[in-house]
Amino acid sequence: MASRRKTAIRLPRKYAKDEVIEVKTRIIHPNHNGRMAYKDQGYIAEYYVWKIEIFYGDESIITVSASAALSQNPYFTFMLRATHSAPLRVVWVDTQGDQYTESVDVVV
Amino acid sequence: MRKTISRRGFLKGSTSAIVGAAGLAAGAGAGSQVSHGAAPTALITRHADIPAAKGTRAVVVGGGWGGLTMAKYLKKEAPDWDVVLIESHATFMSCPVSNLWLAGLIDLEFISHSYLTAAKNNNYIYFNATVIDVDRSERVVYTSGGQLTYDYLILAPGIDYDWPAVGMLDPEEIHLLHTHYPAAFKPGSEHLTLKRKIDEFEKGLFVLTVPSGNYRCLPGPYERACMIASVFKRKKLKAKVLLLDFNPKVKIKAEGFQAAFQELYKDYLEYVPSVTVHRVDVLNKTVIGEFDDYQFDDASIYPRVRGALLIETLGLVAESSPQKEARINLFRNHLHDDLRVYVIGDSRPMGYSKSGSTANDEAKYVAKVIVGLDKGKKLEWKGPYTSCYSMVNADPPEAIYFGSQYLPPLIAHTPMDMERTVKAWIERGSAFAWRDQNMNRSPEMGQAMYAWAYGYYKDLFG
Repeated sequence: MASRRKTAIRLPRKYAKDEVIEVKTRIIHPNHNGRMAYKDQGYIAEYYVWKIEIFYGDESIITVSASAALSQNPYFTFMLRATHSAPLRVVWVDTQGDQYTESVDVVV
Repeated sequence: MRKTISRRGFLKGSTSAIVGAAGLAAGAGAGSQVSHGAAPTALITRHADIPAAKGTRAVVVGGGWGGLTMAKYLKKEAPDWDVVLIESHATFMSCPVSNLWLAGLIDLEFISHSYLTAAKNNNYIYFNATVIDVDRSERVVYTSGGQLTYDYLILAPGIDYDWPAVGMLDPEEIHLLHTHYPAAFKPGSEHLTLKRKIDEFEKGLFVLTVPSGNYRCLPGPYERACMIASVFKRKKLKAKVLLLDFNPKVKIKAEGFQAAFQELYKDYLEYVPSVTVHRVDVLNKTVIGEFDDYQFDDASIYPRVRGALLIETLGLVAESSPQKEARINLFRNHLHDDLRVYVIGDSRPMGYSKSGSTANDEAKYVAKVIVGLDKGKKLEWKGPYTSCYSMVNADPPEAIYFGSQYLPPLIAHTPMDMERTVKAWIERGSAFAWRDQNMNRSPEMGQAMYAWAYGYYKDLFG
């Protein structure tokens, strides 16, 4: 259904234990690379997601070090082997130090 | 002498066959059966029932904002010319300002106009027919109503929808989508269907989509979302507009639209950025996105747009154009190898906004170029001017505004063009020579929008 939140994770509707599934993640976030200037306002400060970390249970399974080249509203997918039931947690960190967390339960 | 090779040997090669067939058809007599294939060919090779050319003849194909302006201003620039406007519709319906009609702010008469009046007032010929083919070596246009010759041909055929770009490949599904949830960015039946949908909507989600690429009327879908939400708000419905945007943020007038979304339609409109539409499941009323699926109760799906099919039919598509736009000189609008054929309006490859006001100003400039070239004069390039109001509130009518003039297009085919373009862009730091905007909606701006439309209709038809 429609995503009404800034952050979102999607798993397939059905999957079995040990199956490799596609996980989709997304955050609505601006991207300013810090090199753009407006005539009267000067440079716009750097503002983008620079790190995405993904936890399966307590284990950190993926760490993404992004740069200003990451898109606005970054959409990131990966494959996961659903070995056990545990929460899947995604943490986005932006250049202003804000953290955004979203989690979903993997149930097998 | 310029050497142009006929694009279709087919038409020329079959001349004798046509003569034979015409003879056959005549022999058969009216009302009786005609031999196979003879009737359509005979029809397009007969001469169109229009007054004979009295001077240099310019044929304008397409009676939208660009074509109507072109016909009128050619006649103004060269009163002794013979100007013919070929248009397949019998009445004109304006796409600009049509969102106001959808919300009930204006009536249909405000945006409907007569081609006959335009032709009468401006002294050109309106010919109600559909163009089938063009023979550039003989300078003949073949239409559903017969053939006519030209000295200058100006193509202003507008847009068509690029269904495969939204994952719609099966003609059956395309037909379903188009009839059930039309985009309403090509005026006519699509608008009437959408209006009925809005009027009859009772509750639930009404989905609108914003396509990728350079689509017709950049603020159109956002304005429409506001206007539909205003209807729901006025009727106090348990209904919501869900605006699914391909772009990561509102593409134009973002500040003004965001303010309206937040302040006026908090409960009636939801904006979702970065939605790539993979397909639309018409029977299950679902937009299948890259990330999420969106179930709707009713919808208007705006697919990606492309240059009109006619441009492709005539073999004029630029190879490098992702939206199948025409292969023309970016400063003078003529074909690279044919100074007698011009393309204006939404089928142009330049990144100008695909809007009525841009087409209007562009046509005035190109009309001068054509008449100038004919008389051996060369004109200084002028970027089209665009002015654009968007109604964001219906009660009271309040609008926001953006106006600008374009710099030379950034895509350039010759080193000289490129140098000139890059220099201009670096000097200005944007695509515009100047711009003017007002993102604070107000009733005065709303009134200005009515005046804007009235002025343009007067320019096109008066």
